[in-house]
Amino acid sequence: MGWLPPAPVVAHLGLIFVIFNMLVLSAAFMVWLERKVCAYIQDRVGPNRVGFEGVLQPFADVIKLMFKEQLRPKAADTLLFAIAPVISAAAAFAAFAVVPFGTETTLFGLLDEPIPLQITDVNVAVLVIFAITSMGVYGIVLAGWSSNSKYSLLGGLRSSAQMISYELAYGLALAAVIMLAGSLSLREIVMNQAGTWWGFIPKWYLFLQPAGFLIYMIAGVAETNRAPFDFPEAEQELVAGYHTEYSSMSFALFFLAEYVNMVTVSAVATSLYLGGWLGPFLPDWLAWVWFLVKVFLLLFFYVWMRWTLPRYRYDQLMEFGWKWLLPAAVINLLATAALVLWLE
Amino acid sequence: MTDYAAIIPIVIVALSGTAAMLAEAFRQPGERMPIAGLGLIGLAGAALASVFLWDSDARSFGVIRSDNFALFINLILCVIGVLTMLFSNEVVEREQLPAGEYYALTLYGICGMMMMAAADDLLIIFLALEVLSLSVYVLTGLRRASEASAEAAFKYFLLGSFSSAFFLYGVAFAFAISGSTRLDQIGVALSAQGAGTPPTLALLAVGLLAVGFAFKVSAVPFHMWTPDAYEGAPTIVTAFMSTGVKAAAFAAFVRVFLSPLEPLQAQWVPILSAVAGVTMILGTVVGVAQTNIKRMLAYSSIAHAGYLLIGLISNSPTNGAGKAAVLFYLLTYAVTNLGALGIVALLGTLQNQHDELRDFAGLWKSRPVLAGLMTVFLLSLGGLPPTAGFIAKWYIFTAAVQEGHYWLAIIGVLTSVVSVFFYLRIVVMMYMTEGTETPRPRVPATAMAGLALATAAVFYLGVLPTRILDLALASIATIF
Amino acid sequence: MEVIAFYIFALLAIVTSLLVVGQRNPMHSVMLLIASFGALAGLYVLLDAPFTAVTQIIIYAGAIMVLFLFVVMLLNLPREEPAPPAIAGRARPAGLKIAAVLSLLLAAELVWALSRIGLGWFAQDPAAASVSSVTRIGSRLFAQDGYAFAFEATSILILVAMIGAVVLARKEH
Repeated sequence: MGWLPPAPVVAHLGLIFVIFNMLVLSAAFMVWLERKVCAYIQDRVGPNRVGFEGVLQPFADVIKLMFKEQLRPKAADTLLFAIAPVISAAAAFAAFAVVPFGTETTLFGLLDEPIPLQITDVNVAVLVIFAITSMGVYGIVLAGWSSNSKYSLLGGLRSSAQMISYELAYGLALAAVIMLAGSLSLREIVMNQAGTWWGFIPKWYLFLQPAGFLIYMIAGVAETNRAPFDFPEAEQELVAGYHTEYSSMSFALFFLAEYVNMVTVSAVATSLYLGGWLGPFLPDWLAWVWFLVKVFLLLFFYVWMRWTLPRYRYDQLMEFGWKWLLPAAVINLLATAALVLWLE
Repeated sequence: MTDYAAIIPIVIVALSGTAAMLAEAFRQPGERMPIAGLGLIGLAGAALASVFLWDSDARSFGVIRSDNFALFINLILCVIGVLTMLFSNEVVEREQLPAGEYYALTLYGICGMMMMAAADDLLIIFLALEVLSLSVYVLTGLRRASEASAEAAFKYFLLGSFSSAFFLYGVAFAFAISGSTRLDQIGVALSAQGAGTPPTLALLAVGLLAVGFAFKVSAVPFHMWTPDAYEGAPTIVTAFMSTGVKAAAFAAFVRVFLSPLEPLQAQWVPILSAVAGVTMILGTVVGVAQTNIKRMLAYSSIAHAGYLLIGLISNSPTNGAGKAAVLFYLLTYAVTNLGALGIVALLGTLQNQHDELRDFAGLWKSRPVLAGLMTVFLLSLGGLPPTAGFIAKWYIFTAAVQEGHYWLAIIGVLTSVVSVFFYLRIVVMMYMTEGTETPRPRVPATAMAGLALATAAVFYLGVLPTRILDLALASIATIF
Repeated sequence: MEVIAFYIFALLAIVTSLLVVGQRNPMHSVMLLIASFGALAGLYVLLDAPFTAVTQIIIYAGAIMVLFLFVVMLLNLPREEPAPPAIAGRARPAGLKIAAVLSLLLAAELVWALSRIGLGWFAQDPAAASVSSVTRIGSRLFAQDGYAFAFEATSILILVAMIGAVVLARKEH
């Protein structure tokens, strides 16, 4: 079989394939979860026709979307209108490339050298995530602008202003963790959280950075434009925000991007604050199960919050972001810096 | 561990600027707040710190040096700042300038100026230049309702950005020669090349740096922005920037050209001599034709840049007169010009700037004290004894003669004589012409105190200059 | 492998940069410029400087270009009018001539400079690879060389610029 590329390359490509599909499936799962949880919170049953308890409902939705007509406003900017959802989705997927979700594995001895369960372990991973998050704004801005519709434009402006505002607090929360870990690599950050205090409290950064975790999660929710900060979907004011004019698969891409972003934010939170794949009881090769459990809990929290809290008003959101969250993040960063210096 | 002593004056001024900004943020609409007081406290602190640092030759971060030269400039800047604050209180309110921003920008500007005087690294000089320039650009355009103000700010900003680019290019070439932006290392690299024709890169660096500085001190042919910017800016800002920017820019000019670029003296002295000559002549000749006082003082400011350049040129390792003369001249110019423009500012109102020559007609009748003080400042600007201006010019011209720059000294004396003509025109206007009965605004006690201070300084420097001159001589020796 | 990636990124950077200038629609220009920055970041990664690459994306593509985009979008800049067809016998606009002369000058300069220093200068310096380490950049920036002061001075500069922008741009009461 000399024509095959070397085994590590194959394994790596396989890993990328698996992660990509896992993300797509997790988005489908999230749609189902969201509808189910929402239904239970509202004392309904929720989707229960397609597949067991409606688990296949998202797939049915996608098939329906695929067969819908692709509409485009007459005065829209053809090129940008087509590219915008692609940018959104691509940015959402790309961020996951640096998230580690398990220890190294040799795939049961198939490989000579173990490969890490991660697409790539760059030494500036946290910054990569930050960079890619900041690129996500473009999809939304362009969608809003290129549709040439007032609702889209206003929705796009609002969402992008919101994302830019909360990016600052988001980045400062990240910086505090970087200071503690002394590394920018997510794998090293996770490894630094190994062990326990007094034998029962895991050494997660959650316990060193409670405020930071809170700031990160709030900013993360705002970054992904989710409730209670879901202005793009403020129907009363903006119809559907930046994706008002989108239909069919290009709409589906935005939808996908939203859910994948949620997964990424949760996965990064897991790595930064909740010790990533580290956990008791399970053997090393099953460590990724812990990762999935933690991410799932965070995602459930996302959904729970959406159906519990009312939407903020836009000016309140901006005021909260700039006047409370950002100063809090700065203070948290300074306190962390002082702590790190003091401990040295 | 780094020694932080050298940056203390700079930090104090920056903090007082921040305090001014915060005070404005917490001000209720309509509430009056003594923000100028915050500035005065900060400047007093900086002056005190400078006095305590005297002779310490502290260094911070390797790029800020508080040698006596920097401290002397710091003290000049503190004088400028204090006088500006004293005049501002009433004027800012009357002209409806945004108070918090005005004081914050002024203080940050002074902070940048101090940084520029103390910087031992071209990169820091550039940053300081930008800090002071940006605050002055904005201050120039602070009168939002006035088109002239906006035009002045825009012109100043565009041309200033150009000159900054020239300066930065010069820094790049200096870096190319020595592999460092530190002044001492550039000096070492240049003297290592020995005698003979210096490399092209070095000449480019000198030329471009000279352009950058010449713009900031408004030397011909880079003076075009000066009249417009000075006329359009709020008068109090004109007073501040004509003195402060000049002091800071000359401080860095002297430090860069006399210390690391000293080996290239044979190359830059002829060029700067020509610039100095043309600057004096143009400033004086065009100044004669002006009817607007601010514009006239702008041209006078150009001419003074020429005199200061003579001081910069007339230097040799054995002869300290020229160097000391530059510092002395800067101090003299600061108190004199601030006094003169301060009076113009204090007489202006929102509706009428009172900055035309005819507005000063009959001032002697309505405001004898102000007219008298104005006369003192104008005579000092013209260089008549027993005022400070006379001594300052005397020392500059003496240094020029000692160094053999006879024709520069001659041009200087001739232009001084001509300039007396247009300064005296204002005096004649005040005393011998009947004025229209325009209502003159009230001049508050703080401003009068400031004017008294400036007048006292003019006479003190004019009659008993030796103490300050010795101090200047001792302090400038530290930059080598 | 790396060579292929280099040519892809290099080609992308050049083509997008050319297109930025050629577009009549300012929005498209902005997007192409972002793409060009992205390609540059790719080149930095190939040069073993991931930190520089990420900074390039965060600052240029992420922050500065968003501002550009907003300005272009909110001003709703119209599509540029196509230049009037050149009339025979009439001179082309002066700007075009100056631009042509300047670009020729730049090209000549580049060729001259390259011929002077020779291509050997570009040979990889093994010590250079370690510069990409964030730790090294941090300690150079803040611990040595006095850049810490420059850094703080820059913060004052930015503060002044911000105050200036606010005070000059806000509405009069």
